[in-house]
Amino acid sequence: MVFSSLPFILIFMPAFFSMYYLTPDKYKNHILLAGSLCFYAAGTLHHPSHFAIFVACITADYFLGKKMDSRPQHKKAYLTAGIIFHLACLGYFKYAGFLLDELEKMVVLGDINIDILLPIGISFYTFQGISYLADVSKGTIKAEQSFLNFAVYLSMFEQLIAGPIVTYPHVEEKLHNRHVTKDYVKTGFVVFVFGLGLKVLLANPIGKLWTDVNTIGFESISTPLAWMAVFAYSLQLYFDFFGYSLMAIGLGKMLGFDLPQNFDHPYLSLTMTEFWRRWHITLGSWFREYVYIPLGGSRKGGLITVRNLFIVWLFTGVWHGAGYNFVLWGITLFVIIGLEKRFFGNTLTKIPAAGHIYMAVLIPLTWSLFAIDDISQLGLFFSRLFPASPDEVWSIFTGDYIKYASLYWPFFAAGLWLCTKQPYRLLEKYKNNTLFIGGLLAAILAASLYCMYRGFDDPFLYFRF
Amino acid sequence: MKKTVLILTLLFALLLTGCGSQKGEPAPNEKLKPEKQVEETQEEAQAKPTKNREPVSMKNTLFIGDSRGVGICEYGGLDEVDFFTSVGMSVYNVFDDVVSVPNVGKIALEELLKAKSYDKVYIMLGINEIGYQAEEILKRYSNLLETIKETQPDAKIFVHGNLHVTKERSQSDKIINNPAINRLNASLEKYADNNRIFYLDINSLFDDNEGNLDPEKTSDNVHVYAKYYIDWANWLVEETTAKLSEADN
Repeated sequence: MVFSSLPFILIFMPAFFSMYYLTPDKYKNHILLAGSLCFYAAGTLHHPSHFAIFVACITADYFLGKKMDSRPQHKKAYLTAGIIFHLACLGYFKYAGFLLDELEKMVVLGDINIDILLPIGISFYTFQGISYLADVSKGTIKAEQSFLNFAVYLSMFEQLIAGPIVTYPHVEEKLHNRHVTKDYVKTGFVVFVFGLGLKVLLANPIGKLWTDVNTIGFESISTPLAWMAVFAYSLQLYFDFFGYSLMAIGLGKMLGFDLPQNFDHPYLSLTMTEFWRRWHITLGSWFREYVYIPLGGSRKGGLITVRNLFIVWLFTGVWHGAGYNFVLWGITLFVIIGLEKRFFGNTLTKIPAAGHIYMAVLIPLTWSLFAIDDISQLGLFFSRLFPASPDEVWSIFTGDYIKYASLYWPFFAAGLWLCTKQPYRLLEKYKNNTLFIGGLLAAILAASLYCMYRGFDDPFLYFRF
Repeated sequence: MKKTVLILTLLFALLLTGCGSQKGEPAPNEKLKPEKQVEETQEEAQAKPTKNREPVSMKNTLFIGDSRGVGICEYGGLDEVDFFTSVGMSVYNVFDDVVSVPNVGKIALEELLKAKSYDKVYIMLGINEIGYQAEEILKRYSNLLETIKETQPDAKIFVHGNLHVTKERSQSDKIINNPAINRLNASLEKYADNNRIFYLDINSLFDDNEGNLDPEKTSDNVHVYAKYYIDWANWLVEETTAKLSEADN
């Protein structure tokens, strides 16, 4: 079940929140856990093993955390066991299929036909579990004594399947003691609907351009259309994920939690280094806190710093998917960020126009590495972006870019505007104008519901994680 | 910041207008287009020995179709053909829709049929309405054929069978699957009298050896890659020539 679906909005939300708000505060965690497990079970009906693994992870982390507190002399062993358990699950479901395929190509293994389906949310709850164990091991937090509270932390549906990646300290207080106020519910609902609109009314339609171009085939598109398509993909990816994060944050607010922000106008960045402080913030924080710093960060000299950065970016790439293109993407980011730090990052920061132009080109180029699984297709796409000769700029359909520009320009215009801070400043300015906000929300919700009813919705891009 | 956004927007607009200024340039890859057809009149064609019929001219030709027809229009290189095609077209909306026909303008089908005279009319419809009642689909298809016969008394009509989907799509979709497409195509084939109305089966060109659309030829399991529309166009010309030759016999 996804947030941007009719069953979730019209059935799950009313049913769950009615029960939740009617329940006294001290039992709210019970309802939240039950609701979250139902939510996850609905998505794993045809794969009950996925649900079992999820419950196993919750149970393992809870007991390992308690053991670390009660037997601190063995905490490293418990932490290691927990990390190995989590990475083994993630490794199997996420990478085993790919590795076996590659092995099959290299060595004659016979006809191995293994179809391993990725349990939804595993990349996110794995990282949350590891962060919890690491924090207990470091002494940052005490292990949660209540299984109920811990299970709620790991399973709460609003952030379960696509983040933000919430660390335990962030929600510890509210897990134990929260009261949901009307303001929280109102603000949460506003944020949820706004996120829904970004996803359904902007990300989904503009993403169709990338789909169209894939249907045509890269060899048959003109250079202008290739650039339009990769810009469209960049906007789709942002508003898809940003929209979903807002929905998660909105739902969290409606539950009484303050989830962390996950995006901070990333497309306004002047360097790739800055971009990755503004994009998927909780993932970047996680890698910094639980990989980069434990490895020594930048405290052990230049070579070690480079090594640590390489590891972080390689893992960032691989976390996003099992494929050579993700490895290439991660390594490319490492190289770009390294060059920025060493040579020209400061210059770009000092000359914003240069920084914006630099990023306007680099962002879609790096996202194309992310989007195209097949390396040969990647090469073909780049040959369309950068044709070797003027003859290769156009396609047999000479007006292809005009056709698609006429279809998609409103979405480009809206997308570019929503990348800036202006619309959010306007919303902030008029947030107390009930008529304006109410009207806007009603329009967004009605339009989104209509699009979902007509089947214009697409699965959230990040669900393959 | 505002200046920078303005600069970026202007750059983006310049990119598009700069490309627009290239509109007049000839498209590359002329070699990819179908070979130029020898012009001939109908009388000349009928007088010739039918075994070695010259490839038909695609002038004075109308193609009515759905999204696959849009693909042939945009990537097939049949510039002489009038394409009355749009995504989602079906026998349910073919008379209601106003379509932008290249070199003609925005026009409804009946208006187009009354305004111009065609030698050949192709119809490729069916995939978008395949979930509806078969009898109703065929009733509307018959209605379309009758309208064309009345408004285009000299035209040969080519009922173009629907392209298969891939095995993956066929096995996962209860409505749009190859058994359903085959049933529809079999019904459409019955309209052919091989004198005025002919039936064309595209699937011989793009099927794999299991009778499904070859997955290597498609990205979305439904439409072939654009590069194959040239082959589709060439096949159309060849099949049309062959059918007309047989009819001449």
